[in-house]
Amino acid sequence: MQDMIETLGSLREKDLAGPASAETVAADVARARRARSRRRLWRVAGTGVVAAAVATVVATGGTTAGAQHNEAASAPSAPAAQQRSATAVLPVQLTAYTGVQPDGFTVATVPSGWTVRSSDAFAFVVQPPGDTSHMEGDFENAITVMLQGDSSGPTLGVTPVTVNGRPGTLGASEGGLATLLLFPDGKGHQVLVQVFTKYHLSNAQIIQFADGVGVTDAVQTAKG
Amino acid sequence: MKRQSERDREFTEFVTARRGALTRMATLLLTGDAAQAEDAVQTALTRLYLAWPRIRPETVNAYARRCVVNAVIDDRRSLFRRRERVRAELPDAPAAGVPDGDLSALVALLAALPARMRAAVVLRYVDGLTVAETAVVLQCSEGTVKSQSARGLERLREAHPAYSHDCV
Repeated sequence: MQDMIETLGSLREKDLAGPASAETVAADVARARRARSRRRLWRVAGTGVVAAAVATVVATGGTTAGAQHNEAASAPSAPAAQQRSATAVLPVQLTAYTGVQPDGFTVATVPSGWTVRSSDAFAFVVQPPGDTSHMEGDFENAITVMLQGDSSGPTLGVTPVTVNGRPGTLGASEGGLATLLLFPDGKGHQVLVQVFTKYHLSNAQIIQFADGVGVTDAVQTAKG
Repeated sequence: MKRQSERDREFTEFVTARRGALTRMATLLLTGDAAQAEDAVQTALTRLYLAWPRIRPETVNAYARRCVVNAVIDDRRSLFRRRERVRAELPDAPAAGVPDGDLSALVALLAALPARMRAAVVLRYVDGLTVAETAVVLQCSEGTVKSQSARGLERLREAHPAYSHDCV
């Protein structure tokens, strides 16, 4: 007599759907690629909003690197109108990070109350309180620390800034949903901090956060 | 750094090798509904592809299973919430027992379990994952996996006493 565990285990050999045909697999890949394209287009759709933010930064920016750093540090990372309409968003305050350090990075501060979504040699991702809608490894609606890899870095309203005494660049992502800060760590790495603009961290806060980021020998670059 | 073509090649190889197992898992989690299972697998594979550059090779199987579980849960939220009834008593088992290989009877037995319990049983005893691996996929503690899978087995054996002689 076959016991229940053996019977359930026998299902492992059952092919309930039949072997995946080449056409089915090709359709899976095509569907996934279309989803990737749609996501990129969706990001691009925010460009108009970012243009307003860029105009604000440019209008208040100085001509020297130091002045630009100061202006960038005080400029909001989201348009004023967007901030006014986001009355439900509580201001973010950075606080000392006391959790387990990720394998690939060291982090000194995080927004108060935020939680770690994922942490490994590739990236450190923190999310707002109560956000359970994203899976580990998802960088959407979060603050992410990673190496630049093949990411493009800031592309809109790029402003020179200083991070840990080294020159970095701050600006909006291609689609405008995030502010990106790219800076060298002094050991040959280009570190990328991505902050979704919906959380309204000021550029000064983003730079302060980046000042507390270090890179360990275990760091790895996400492929892609 | 991987080019698009290399990413697609890796993903294609993974889907070719693993799609059948993921579909089987989704079918059992969705109580035998093959059409809904296919939808869930397609959704899961798309999410997997989007995350592909960030997934380590040693965790890709667990990640894919988690995508399927999440897709099933999403599917249940949107479609099955009104249809599923959690019952204190399992439905009558087939009068002649569950013969080896009687797939539909087994699926019917599994379908009577609550969703999380069913997932623990399927992952542990059909897919053959360890307690730790199952906990990773279900994003819960190992204790929960042990509890859910043990209770699930108990309920299945109660539904069919012929299987009550073995123990976990």
